[in-house]
Amino acid sequence: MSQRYADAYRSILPPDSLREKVLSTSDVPATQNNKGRIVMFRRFACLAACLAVVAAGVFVSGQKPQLQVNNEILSSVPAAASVPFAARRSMTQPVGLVLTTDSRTELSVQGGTMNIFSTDTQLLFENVTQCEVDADCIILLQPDAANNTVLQVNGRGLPAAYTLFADENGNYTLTRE
Amino acid sequence: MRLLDVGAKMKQQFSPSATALLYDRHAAQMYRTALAVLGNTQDAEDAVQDVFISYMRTLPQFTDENHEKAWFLRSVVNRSRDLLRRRSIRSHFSLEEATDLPADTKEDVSALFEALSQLPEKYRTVLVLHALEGFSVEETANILNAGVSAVKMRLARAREKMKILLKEEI
Repeated sequence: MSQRYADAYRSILPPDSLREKVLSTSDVPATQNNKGRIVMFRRFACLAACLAVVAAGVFVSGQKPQLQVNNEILSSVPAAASVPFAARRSMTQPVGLVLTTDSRTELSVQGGTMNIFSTDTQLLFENVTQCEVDADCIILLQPDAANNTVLQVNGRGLPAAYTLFADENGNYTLTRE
Repeated sequence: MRLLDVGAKMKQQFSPSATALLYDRHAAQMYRTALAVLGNTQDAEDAVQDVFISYMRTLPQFTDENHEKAWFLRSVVNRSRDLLRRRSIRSHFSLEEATDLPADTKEDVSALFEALSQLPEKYRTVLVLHALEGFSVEETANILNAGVSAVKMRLARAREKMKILLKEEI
């Protein structure tokens, strides 16, 4: 490139205002100092937000509906395992279950009916075969004497079915399908 | 915690006089290079300032003056490229508000920068560093983190284009 252009190019100098800006940057206390610090803060903020979302997802997904009887959480027992309970009761007596959920949960029953109570014992549904709840509740399951009773619980896309059996001694068994 | 440590390090080692020394040593080259890449004075100033801020945050250790110069030039080229990508700056050179150059020099600078603006950024940068700032091919390759042969090739193509654009023997 001709020397003329090179000389013209090298005659360009930064404005004095830039020198002042840069020098004032080094005078500012480090904690209030620069854009880089803001960028770093934003990165941490983004990371924290992402972690919060992931943690919330894990936490919320862990809150699937839980069905309890005699303080035993039925949904935590292995599939096809049986939970015997309520010995020496007539098959026609209602069976009390506690459902723990914080999201919309569909309940349906075959071979019986159910009454649903809130945890403060308000009757929510009476003698229904299906309903929806979105909070903890108590299920009084009324089996038909002639049939096995199957309770289906479907919350957060995780359906589970529980079959109620009675043996000749009047002991109940709930089996998770 | 890490941020506080960096701040303390800055306060200890980076005095205003050290800043002034570094600025006087490198700012002119950095500013011209950023101006050639970005095409406007405001963005060039931002690029230079950002590099000094980055230096103050990280306080890199240099083996010698050439290493120091290469770091500042490489940083300002990278920062300018970032700004170019982020802001989609169309390089158009307006030096009116920025320079106190004599009229004939200003005319040459305008013609030069107008021609540079027609080049792709990768050709423009090698040409500025080698032909205008006076770095060797090896130093240019080092600053741009590119191979020597790639720099030579870009230089040849940049010269060809500039020859046409400036209508002169380069």
